[in-house]
Amino acid sequence: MSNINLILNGKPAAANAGDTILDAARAAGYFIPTFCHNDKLEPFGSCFVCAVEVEGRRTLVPSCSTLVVEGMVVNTENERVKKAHKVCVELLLSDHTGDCLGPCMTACPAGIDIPGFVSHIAKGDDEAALELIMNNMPLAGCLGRVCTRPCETACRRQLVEEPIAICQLKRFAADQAVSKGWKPTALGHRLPALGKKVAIVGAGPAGLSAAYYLQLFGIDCTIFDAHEAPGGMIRYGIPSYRLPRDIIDGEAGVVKELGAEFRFNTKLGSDVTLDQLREEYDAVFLGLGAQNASSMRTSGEELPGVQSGIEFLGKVSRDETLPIGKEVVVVGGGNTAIDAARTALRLGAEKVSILYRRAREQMPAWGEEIDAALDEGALLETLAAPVKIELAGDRLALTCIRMELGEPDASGRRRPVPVDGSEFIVEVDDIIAAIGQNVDASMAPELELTDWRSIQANEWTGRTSIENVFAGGDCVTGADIAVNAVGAGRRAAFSINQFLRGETVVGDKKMYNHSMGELKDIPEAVTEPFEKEARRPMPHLDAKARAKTFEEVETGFTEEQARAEAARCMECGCRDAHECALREYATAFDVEPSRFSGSCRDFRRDDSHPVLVYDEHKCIQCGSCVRACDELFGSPCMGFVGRGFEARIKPVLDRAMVLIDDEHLPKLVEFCPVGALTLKTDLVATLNR
Amino acid sequence: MENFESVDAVLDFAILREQEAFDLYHGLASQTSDPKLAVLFTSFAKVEAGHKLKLEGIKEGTTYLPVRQNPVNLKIADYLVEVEPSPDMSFQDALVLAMKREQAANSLYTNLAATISEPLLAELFSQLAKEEAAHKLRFENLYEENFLSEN
Repeated sequence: MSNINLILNGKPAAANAGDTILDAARAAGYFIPTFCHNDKLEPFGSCFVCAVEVEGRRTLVPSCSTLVVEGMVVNTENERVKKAHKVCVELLLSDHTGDCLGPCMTACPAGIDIPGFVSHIAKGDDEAALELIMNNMPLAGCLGRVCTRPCETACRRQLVEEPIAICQLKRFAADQAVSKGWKPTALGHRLPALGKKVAIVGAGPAGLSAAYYLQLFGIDCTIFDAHEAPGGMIRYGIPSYRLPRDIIDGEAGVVKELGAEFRFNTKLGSDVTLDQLREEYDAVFLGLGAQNASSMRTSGEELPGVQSGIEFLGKVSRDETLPIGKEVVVVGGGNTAIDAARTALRLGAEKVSILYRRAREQMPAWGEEIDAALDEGALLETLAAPVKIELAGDRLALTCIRMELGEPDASGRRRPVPVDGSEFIVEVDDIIAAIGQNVDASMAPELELTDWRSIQANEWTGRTSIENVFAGGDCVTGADIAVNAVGAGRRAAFSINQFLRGETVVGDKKMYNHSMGELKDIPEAVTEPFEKEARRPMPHLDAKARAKTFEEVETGFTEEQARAEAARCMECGCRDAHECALREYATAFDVEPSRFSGSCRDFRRDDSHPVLVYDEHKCIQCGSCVRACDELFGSPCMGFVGRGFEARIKPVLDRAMVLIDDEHLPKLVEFCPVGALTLKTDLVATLNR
Repeated sequence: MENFESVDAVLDFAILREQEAFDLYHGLASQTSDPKLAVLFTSFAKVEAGHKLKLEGIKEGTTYLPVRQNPVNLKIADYLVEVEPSPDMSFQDALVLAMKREQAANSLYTNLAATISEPLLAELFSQLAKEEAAHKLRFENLYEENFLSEN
């Protein structure tokens, strides 16, 4: 029976004799953060994150160990208390070493659980790997072939020898699904129909991604596209020898199976207007891409035989027998230029030259693609730029000028400058200009644009200047990598879902992420346990033979190769990332992690025990594990070692975990509020969605 | 070719040219059908107005022309086709127009510096040429960033 009356946050509340303030607050439905408190242990009051204000007391008091008394006036939610909670968490973070999520995962614009899916592949569960990927990426087979892999750039395995082949492992999981006929379990897990519908303009990566997740939210989508088939730039700007069409159609087919309707050959601005879509649908998502080719502005560019890279690749995507001349020049140094060059070879061109204004190392194209083009016989002419194009009988005369790298500018970059008098002429049959792409948003003049003519939209929520219109992908950012578009489409789906349900539109939840830093900051102790093991190379067709065919060049990992490659993963990131109280509170309190900067505890991992891992560098010294040993198990497994600021919680006598012969040891994981104590069987950062 | 017999005559000539540039961009801002381009041309016009103010200040003796190193000449403008102003110009058109205009101004002052006999006036024209070269570089940088991203 309640027999103590108090005032909690200005309202009367009741508690029992012997209750703490924490007990009373919880009973009344108020949240108070705790680290060192556990209902199975005696109150301790060490971490102070649960501190609250009691009227009449000069300082804040720990709510977990302060008993209620009659007439007590308590405030758990005022600014003073909130600030104290925040500072407490910031102090703990100032001495916290570790990563919530692996650097690969934070580098991925789609936020794929990379350590998780790679771990599944290593253990032989490819279906689970694919399910995990599709939580964030519905185009695993497509992107597993063409992504530019920011995850691998961040991968810490390169500190040992080379990054993990993350992208190719993603492709492996997707290809396994195709060969074994798996269907994503998401197909059976749509939320109940909301009774709302969304128009999606653009069946490229952004639009397909938005539609996939909106359909899962129970929202019906109609996808409009000016082209005759799905894929957008990944179909009409990437040749089939890199990305076979059946892969695109298969993954778009899953979106259709979820209930989305496709309407092809329908162009925004001419066949349907934005106003019409806003009228007929509850919301609109624009994934228009950046499909306008930049023109060279060179004299003679309008002559027959001169076309843009996008135009060329688009035509070839519809007809792989397109005629082409014997000698072709491709102007540009990005992936589109390389794709155009390799495609020209496959169409039968005898000599294909890539003309690039700067030096090879400045080419934005992916190095492996450039090497592949050269292996297939393309020629590379760097530090050369087109000047003018003229007719030369039934051929074209392209006047070029040599460039040299000038003095560095303020940013240290050496700019290419023409060398006077160095003009030279090449006679060719075809010229393909692939010097860049930009956005054409003229079909939606109602929208506010950026200075660079892309659609003005919040990059997290996708909201535009018009209330029920959202946008994402290249039409917002300018021409960019496909995985960014997929991530944008997914985030927009969260926002649109909130919008249609009358909720505040904040997009997908942004969780706090603690990191050990850049590659250069990673201590040797992290990589020391790993022996060198070369990355598995992706098998591919012979260079000269494949240059005559549109057959897929990269043939994919075998099971053996995939398992071995996945086993190289260092499993960065925390097994407790989705249950960690420190991360939860850091997110909720919107902390400034560098407020209290200074030296951090050293990385110290003990994984000697068969089932338990102790990451001492993550410990916040709440003492729960020590008290559990004492109060519940009666065995001194863990204890405080050292004094003052140097005190640490360690296995008793500072022994290795494996030397602690105690059956209770694995149970300590339950008492650790952060990821200092985890079980080896828990996958790193496994998402619970 | 005009006769420049004094520093003031040179500055008056340059001030007139900045006014012409301002009028050009201001006119384009009001003619274009693209609101963003209107903002861009207005910003160009403001820059030219700033140049004019600076030159007027130099004439009054309240400001000095900064002694510049020769700005990098990327020569992007040299090899691009001329653009005629029109209401439906694109952002790319606008930058080509602007950099060609600054290139013409730079050439004019460079030629005047080479042909005029009075050393002080020649030096003044040379400094004005460098100013215009710096303006051209600004537009060429924008062009390179936006339209030569893959070249």
